[in-house]
Amino acid sequence: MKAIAIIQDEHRAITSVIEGLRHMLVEVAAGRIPVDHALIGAMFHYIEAFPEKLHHPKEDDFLFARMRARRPEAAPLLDALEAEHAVGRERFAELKATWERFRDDASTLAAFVEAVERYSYFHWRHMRKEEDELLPLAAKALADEDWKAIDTAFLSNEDPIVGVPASKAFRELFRRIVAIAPPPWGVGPEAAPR
Amino acid sequence: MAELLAVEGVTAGYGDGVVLEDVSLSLEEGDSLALLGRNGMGKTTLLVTLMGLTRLRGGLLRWRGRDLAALPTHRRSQAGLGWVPQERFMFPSLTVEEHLTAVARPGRWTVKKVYEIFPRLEERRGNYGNQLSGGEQQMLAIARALMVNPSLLLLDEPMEGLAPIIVQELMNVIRELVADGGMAVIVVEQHAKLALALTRQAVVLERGRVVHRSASEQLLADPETLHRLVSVS
Repeated sequence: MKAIAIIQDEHRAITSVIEGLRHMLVEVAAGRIPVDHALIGAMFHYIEAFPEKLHHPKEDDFLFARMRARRPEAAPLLDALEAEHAVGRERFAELKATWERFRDDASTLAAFVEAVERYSYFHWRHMRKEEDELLPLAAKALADEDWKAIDTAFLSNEDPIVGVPASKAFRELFRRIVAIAPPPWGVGPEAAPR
Repeated sequence: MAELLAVEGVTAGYGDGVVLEDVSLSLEEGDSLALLGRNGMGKTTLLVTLMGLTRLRGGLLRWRGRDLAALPTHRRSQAGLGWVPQERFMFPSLTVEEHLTAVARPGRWTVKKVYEIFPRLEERRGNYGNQLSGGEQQMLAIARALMVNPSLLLLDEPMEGLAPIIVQELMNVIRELVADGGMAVIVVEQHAKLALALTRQAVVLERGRVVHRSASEQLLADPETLHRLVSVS
């Protein structure tokens, strides 16, 4: 059941970036720090690519598939979660559009902040549903052989993007976000007051 | 794997006060353990006891088969215990690099190697301890403990008070240290899921006594038991 820890860890990683973005934008909106579009770009890349490349495919293809086979009565929950994976892509596309509008027109900051809040709430509810409802059910329902297959998938680094294992590429991207985000969110340079 | 640390029936505390009662646990070379429990249940006291800073009233502390309790604190550090205290204890008069070189002992961990896992510290090498952010201080506290080249790293609430992005980065680093297997790790953490995700075995303390021990992944997969043992009612 190593996959449970990995899923929770991947949730934490995505959430930390979304929450970091949300809190920083509150400071930007209050005029306490300037906006850093390079940092937002790195965070957006992580929030978009990490679930799509690494996280959701393994959930859909391994955890959800095994649960469907073992627990047909869990179908409504699994349908809802899979649908949220698809809706999440649409929500993120909308969020990205509000960022692009903000880049062209600084007066749309309030709309961007609100869109980040909405996306953060959507992501949080989805993640809680997986951790509070699905994972405890899976821990009881799935057999050792199921977990062996799921663990292997989640431990795998064989998903190459840009010529390196995906997990390593995302590790480097995360490290870059930590390095450029100003304190207290990261350990980058102190943001100069706006 | 060979036994690294054994705590057998340990009763300890401060002055006349007893905090730990009849605590037993063991750790092999390269192993990892989450030490969990609500506030004030004795987790930090157990780490402090391993470092020789409490009054040991009973029981045995064995380190690679030898009596650890007979050693003063500085000799325990020399023997291979690396401690990252909750308070971090940065020196305002020392630079980042001086913090590292002041405690360096021969081994695989060098200044160059700790800068590889914490690149930000290299950028801040000339800054003083009181010029660092909370995240940077915690990175330095861990890096400093690594410079002792420990066989056992004791991490006391390493995520406390840090923003989620930094917590995740420290999780990544600690996970790499654990996976490397070159040293054992004990993690004390209020956020139980974080510690369980990093470790192989778990021990839960309640009022200074061990009330649960299991594989970390087993406890992580049992939210009801976890909630009963560590949540605040």
